[in-house]
Amino acid sequence: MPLFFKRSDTPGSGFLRIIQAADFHGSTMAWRKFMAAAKQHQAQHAIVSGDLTGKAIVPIIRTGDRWEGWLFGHREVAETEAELAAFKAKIERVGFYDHVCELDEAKALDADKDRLHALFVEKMNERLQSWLQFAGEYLEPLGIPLWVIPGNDDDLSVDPILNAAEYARNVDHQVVEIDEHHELVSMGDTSMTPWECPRDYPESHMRVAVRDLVEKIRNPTGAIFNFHCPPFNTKIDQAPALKPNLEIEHEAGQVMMTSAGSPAIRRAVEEVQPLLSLHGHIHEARGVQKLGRTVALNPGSEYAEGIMKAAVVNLEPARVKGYMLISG
Amino acid sequence: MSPTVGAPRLFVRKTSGLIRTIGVGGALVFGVHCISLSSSGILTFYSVPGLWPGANILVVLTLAAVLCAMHAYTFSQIGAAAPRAGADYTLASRTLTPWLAFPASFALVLFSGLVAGSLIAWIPTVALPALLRASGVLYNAAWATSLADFSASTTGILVFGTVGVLITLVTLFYPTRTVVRMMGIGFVLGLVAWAVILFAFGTGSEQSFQSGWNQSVPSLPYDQVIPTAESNGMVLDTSFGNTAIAGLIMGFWIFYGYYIPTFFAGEVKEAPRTLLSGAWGSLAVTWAIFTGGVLLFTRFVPQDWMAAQGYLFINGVEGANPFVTFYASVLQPNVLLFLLMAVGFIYTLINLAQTYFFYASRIMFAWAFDRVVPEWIAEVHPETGSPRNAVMTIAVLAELGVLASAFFSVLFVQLNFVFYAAITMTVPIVAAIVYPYRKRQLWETGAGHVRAMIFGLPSMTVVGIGTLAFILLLVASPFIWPAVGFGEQQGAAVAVFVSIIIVGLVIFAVARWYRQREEGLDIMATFAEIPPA
Repeated sequence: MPLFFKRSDTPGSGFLRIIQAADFHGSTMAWRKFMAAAKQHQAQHAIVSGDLTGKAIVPIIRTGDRWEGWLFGHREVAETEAELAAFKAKIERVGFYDHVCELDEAKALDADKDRLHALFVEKMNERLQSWLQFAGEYLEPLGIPLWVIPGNDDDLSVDPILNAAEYARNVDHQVVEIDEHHELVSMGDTSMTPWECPRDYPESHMRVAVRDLVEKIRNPTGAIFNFHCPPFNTKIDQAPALKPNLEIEHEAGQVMMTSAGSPAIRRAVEEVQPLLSLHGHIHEARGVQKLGRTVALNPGSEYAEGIMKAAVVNLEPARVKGYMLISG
Repeated sequence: MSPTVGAPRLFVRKTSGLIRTIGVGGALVFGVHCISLSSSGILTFYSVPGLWPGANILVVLTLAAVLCAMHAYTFSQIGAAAPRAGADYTLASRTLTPWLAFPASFALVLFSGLVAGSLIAWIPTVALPALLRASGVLYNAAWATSLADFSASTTGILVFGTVGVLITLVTLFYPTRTVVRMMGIGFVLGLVAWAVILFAFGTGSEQSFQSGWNQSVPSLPYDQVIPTAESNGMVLDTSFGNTAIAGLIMGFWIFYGYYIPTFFAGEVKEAPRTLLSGAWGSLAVTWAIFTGGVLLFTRFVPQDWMAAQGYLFINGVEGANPFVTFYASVLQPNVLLFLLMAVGFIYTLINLAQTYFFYASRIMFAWAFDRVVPEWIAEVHPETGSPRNAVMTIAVLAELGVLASAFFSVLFVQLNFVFYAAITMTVPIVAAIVYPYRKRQLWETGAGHVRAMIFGLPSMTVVGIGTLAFILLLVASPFIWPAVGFGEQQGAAVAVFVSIIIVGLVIFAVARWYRQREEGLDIMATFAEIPPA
């Protein structure tokens, strides 16, 4: 590297470096890349802003001495244990879960919602546990604390798993000091979505929940909001507008966008004016928006492509020194 | 038959943002808009025959559509592999290096702005004069003829072109939903205009056209068109080689825009199919409309006569009117039909400029995300959501495009753009070719046709190589064929391009230095691969 670009970006000399990401949705590849990025970027804190669990299970049908399944429209056939393992790894990489079963069981699961939900809970929690264990083993020697919250897509059954983690700390609905200048204010609840997810709430709930949290802040100047849901009517809450049948609305070939954030969160950001406001939830709305003095960030997500997206932020006691949206 | 027929393919739980597609229809409409029924209609009837006298227009259109379909395939793969704004820049910067990707993207945006201006300049150069001259002839209005002459003059192009840029700019200050509705209206108006044209051509005859022409353009009677062109130096070349070259070069410019839908794809696993179908669909639709028009018109007017008209207009001979709308109004001198065509063409030219403003501003957003340009570029208005700063930046470039069109010619600007667009595309295309090898893991989890194979090799590589060959020929074309060359400005055009690339490199270097010095961050990390822990 030429001398002109001599590195001068080592944290610790007057600023704190955090790394934040959200919306992993079961992608082990994205999760492991986040861990690696925390190390690579010399982060002093790693923050996860919700939506950890995957959305789908790929049934792998066993027929005689071979296995068949479908992934993104591609029929995959495995004829050896090695090929099966490779297929499973591919499924895990994009954030889905696999379930090896006979044809009859697959059909039975398809017909029984409760049984399918139980299978989802089992798969989600199993993977989450392994993630948290890995994070502890990887980050603890580096001295990087891991702050985690669930997101609206995370079933309530993940809470005990997060709470029981040995290294990661579930800070949902909490205000915690991460150093002498900065408090982390976290919440995974979101405004209602058309899908009525486990942690979707009406705005009346959001107002109360956010108010209860901000009342606990001692030093707003150095506060860091860590809300899964972004503030309403910003660049970082723009999602495709949906028709009543959940199809994307478009005109003249353009996808129509709408705000999917929370007015309560926007109001809190504008009133409290924290140093930084970290979000996720709307995968397409990667970006940054200044709201007064507050830098609001959404790193976006491309978990299904196996791409990890994150924000790296350098913080002074009362100023965001710099930020960068990374992906890899 | 597989023993698992009837088995569920996927179990999905209730979560937000479940995969949806925007539908092929949506992508198709946007693609047709980007190709433009108006400007490309003008190119088909005027530039192709005028610049390549003797070339078979139908073969040109067909050959071009096939080659552009290959190019569209590559770009749909790029969009599917990096489904976000500025997909080409994003993929190239991550797969190759931002030192290549940013300057190339910077040049593309700069020239997109200039071309947006040249497209607007087509209104006073072509659309208004065609409207006014026809009015002058049909209704014996001398003022209309005088205004047509003024409109096509250097001053007229500057005045009306600037007004057009301002109108485009103001429309883009409105909320996106409003702008998109304007575009939707334009799509309908464009189709209506073409319905009128096809009706006029379909009901026309040799006799009605010739008598109508002679009445409308007494200074250049129908029978004198070809001899006048030949006396001015036109040489007809009916060889297949001439047609093939015209197809490669002009065809690309006619259909340019089919790949723009690449730039909208969110978390949509069906996007690859949608993008490809949309791009191919828009190619098919516009090919059908233009070839339909040519087929109907050439029932009673030979292509040589069209070539002569185009040639005479390019060489500034009075009386030349090689415009499809003028031909139609000669056949159907009806004020209502005439207005439908004029409004449709003028309105869709503004729409076309809007699409350029749109996609260029989106690419700027991608730069801002990577911290290569100041954040204010990507700021949006709090009430309308309009990216005003980005749009105003493009408007400045568009005004420069109007100036260039006034002092050189619209065609000069646009043929320059073929060169610039093509040369900047080489970077993302090379990135696509090597993507399956340099980003193996991402390629393996790619959606849809990203992972498609041809002859045991990734189609991204195989088709990409074909696309690269096509694009490189376009890059070389101005240096090989004078008809689409830079003329006396060849040295200047190359110097301008090299300067822009250097400016792009300097911007990137300065951005990197500034972020590192002031913010303690090296933006090169934005582009770096992060291997999993």
